[in-house]
Amino acid sequence: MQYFNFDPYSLPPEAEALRQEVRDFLKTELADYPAVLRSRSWAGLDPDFSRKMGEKGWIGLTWPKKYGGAERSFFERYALLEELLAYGAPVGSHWIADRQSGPTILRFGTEEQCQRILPGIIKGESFFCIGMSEPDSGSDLASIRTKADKVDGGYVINGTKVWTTGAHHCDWMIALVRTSPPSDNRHAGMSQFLINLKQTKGLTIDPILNIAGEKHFNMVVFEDFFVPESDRIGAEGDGWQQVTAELAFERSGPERYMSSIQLLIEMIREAKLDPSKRAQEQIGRLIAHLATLRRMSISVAGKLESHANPALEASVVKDLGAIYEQDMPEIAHRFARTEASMTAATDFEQVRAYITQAAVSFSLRGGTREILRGIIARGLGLR
Amino acid sequence: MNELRQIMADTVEKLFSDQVTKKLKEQAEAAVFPDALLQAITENGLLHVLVPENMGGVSGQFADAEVIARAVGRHAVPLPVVEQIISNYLLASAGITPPDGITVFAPVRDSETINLHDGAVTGTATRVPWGRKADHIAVVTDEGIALIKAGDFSLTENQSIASEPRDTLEFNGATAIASGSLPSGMTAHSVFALGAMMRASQMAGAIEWILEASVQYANDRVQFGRPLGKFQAIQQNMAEMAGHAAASGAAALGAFQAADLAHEGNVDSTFEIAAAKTRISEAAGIVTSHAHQIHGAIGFTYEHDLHFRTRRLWSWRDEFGSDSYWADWIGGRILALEADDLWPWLTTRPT
Repeated sequence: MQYFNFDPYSLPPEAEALRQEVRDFLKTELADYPAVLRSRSWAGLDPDFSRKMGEKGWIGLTWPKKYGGAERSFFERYALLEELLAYGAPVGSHWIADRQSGPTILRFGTEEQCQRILPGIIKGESFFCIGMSEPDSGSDLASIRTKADKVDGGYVINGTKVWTTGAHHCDWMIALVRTSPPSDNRHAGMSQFLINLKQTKGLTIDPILNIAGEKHFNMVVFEDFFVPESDRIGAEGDGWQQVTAELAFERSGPERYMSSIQLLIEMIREAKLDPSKRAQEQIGRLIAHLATLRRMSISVAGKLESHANPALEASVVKDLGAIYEQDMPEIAHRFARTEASMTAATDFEQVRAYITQAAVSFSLRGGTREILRGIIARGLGLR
Repeated sequence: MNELRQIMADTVEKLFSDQVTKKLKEQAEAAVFPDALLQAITENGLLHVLVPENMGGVSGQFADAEVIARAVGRHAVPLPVVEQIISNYLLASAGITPPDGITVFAPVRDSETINLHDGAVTGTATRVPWGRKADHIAVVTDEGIALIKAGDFSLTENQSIASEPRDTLEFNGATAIASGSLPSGMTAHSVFALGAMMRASQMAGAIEWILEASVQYANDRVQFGRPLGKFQAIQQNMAEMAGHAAASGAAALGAFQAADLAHEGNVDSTFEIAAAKTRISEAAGIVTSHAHQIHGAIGFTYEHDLHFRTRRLWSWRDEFGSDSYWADWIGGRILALEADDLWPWLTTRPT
C-alpha cells in the first residue's frame, strides 16, 4: 500500500542554466545585503527588487505569454525559487502574487481579470495579500463570517480579516467571504473576490507588530466596502474549492524547507572558527535532512510539472520542513558561545536571534502542523 | 520505476509474501535455517542482481538492487540477501565468478583492517552477518578482495538485537583461493558505505511495513467505542510516522541512484549514502516508538509480528555506521567547504 508518491526527478538542463543566471544576478545585486536581512527570507520586502525581478522576466515564469509570462516549466520556476531563498533575496513584495494569487486568477478568473491583473504582477508592480483568516477563524477556515451582500452592480463586504501579510503595502487582496449564510454543508456558500486595496472607502488596514517587532501582518476591516461584480473570482459559491487548490500551491514550494537556511550557513561559518566534534555531527545531521527534503520538494515540483495534484505530498514536505526549520535555532543554541541578539557583533548571533523568534510561525503559516497532519492522516485512511 | 524494475518488485513481493511467514521468522530465530527460501531467492537470480550476465548474473543496476533490499526489510527476511548481493558484486568486479553456496563479506566495521600477504589473509572481522552459515567469505583486504573457504578461519558466534547471526571471524594466514581488485574507484571504506546503503533501504522497507501495520491496527482496534484512528492524538502520531516513512523511502532510493551514477564515474555517491543512513537511522527510533505506542501491549509480545521489524531497525540503524557516525562524516565534508559554498555545492548533487 503506497500512501504517497515521491518519485525522483532530476531538474532539466534549462532549469540548471536559469539557476546559474539567477545566482550570478543575486551575487551582484545582493553583494552588500546583510546576513540578518537575508534571514528574513521570503518575508523580506523590497519593491525595487521586485521590479528588477519583473524586468528579468522572473515573476509569473510559468504563465502564458499572452499576459507577459514566460511559459517556462515548473522545474525552472523551482530552480529560480531555490536560488532566491538560498541567497535570502527580498522577494516578499511579489511572493504571494507570484505563488498563489496569480495562479488562482489564471485558473478561476475571467479573461478580463487575467488581462487586467496579471501583466502588473509579472512586471513586479502589483502586489497581493491573502484574505483568508479572521479573528474567530484560524485553522477552521470554513467558519469565516465576513460576508458579501449583493447590491446593484456588485457586492458590499462587511467583516474583518487578520494576519494578512503585507496588506499595508499591497495593491490587491484575494478575500474569501460568505455569499450565502452558513448551511449544513460548511464548505458551501463562500466566494472569492479581488479587493482593490487602493480603494480606501470602507477599508481600514492596521498593522500588527509581531514578536520580532516587525510590521509584517495586518488587521483589515471592511465596512460596506463595495466590490464590482467584475471582481468576483469564478462562480458564486466556488470559494472553498478555489482556496483548497490555492493552498496546495502555497504549500508546494521550496520555501517550506529553506526558511532557516541563512542560519545553517552562519552555523557553518561559526563552527569553522571554533571546530568541535559535536558541532560537526549536528551540522551533518542537518545536511542529511536538507538533502532529503530537497529531493522530496523537487518531487513535488515534478508533480506540478506533470499536472498531478501535489496537495498530500506537499503537506508531508511542509510538516517535515517546518520541524527541520524549527530545529535549526535549537541546535544553533546548543553550540553558541555567546548570546543571540539582533544587535550582536556577529552575523551568526544576529541571524540566530531573528530565526529563533521567526521560527515559531513556521508551523502556523500556510496551515498549522495539526491541520497538515490531519490532511496526512486522511491520506493514510484514518479519517 | 521502469518496467523491468517493476517486474522484479512484483516477483520479490510475491515470493516474500508467500514464503516469509511468521513461523519461518520464528524458526530462523530458533536456529532453523530457511534453506528452501534461500533456494527460491537464488533461483530467481536476486543474489546475482549486480553480477554481469557473462558470469551468470542479471547485469542489474543498484536501483534494481534497491527493490530487493527494500523488500528484504519490508518482510524481515531472515537470510543474508543484501550481504550476498554485495559479495557477489565485489567478486564479479574482481573477475572472480561467484562460487555456489553462501558467500558473505567481511569486515563490516570501518575500524577493522585485514591484510593480504603472499596469498595469505590475516586479521579479525567482528559482527559479520551470517558468518557461521557462509561457505565462502569475500574478504576486503588492504590488497583488494580475497576469497576464503569456510573452515579456514576460527569463528565465534554472536548475534544482533534481532537474533540474527553476527559472528567474529579470525583469519590467521587463511588461504586466498582467489583474489582481485576492488571495483574501480572503490576503497574498503566505500565497501563499508555499500553496506550502509543496503541497510538504509532495508530500514526504509521495514518502516513502510510498520506504517501499514500501524494504520491497519488503528482502523481495526476499537476503544471507547471508536477505532483508535479516529482519535486526533493517534492521527497526529501516525502522520508524523508517515512523514518519516516518506523521507526514508526517498532518501534510500536517492542513495542507490547516486551509486548508479558513481558506477558510471559521474559522482562519488558516499554523501547520498551517508545522508540516507543518517536520515533513516534517525527515523527508525521515532517510527519504532510510535508503532509500539499505538500497538499497545500486544505489540510488546513475541507473539505479534511487529518486533521482527522493530528489532531489526534497532539492529540495522547501528550497523555499517550509525547516524552519529555518518552525520559526523557529512559534517566533516561540509566544514571543509566555505560556508557560502554550501548551497552551490548542494545543488550539484544528484536528486
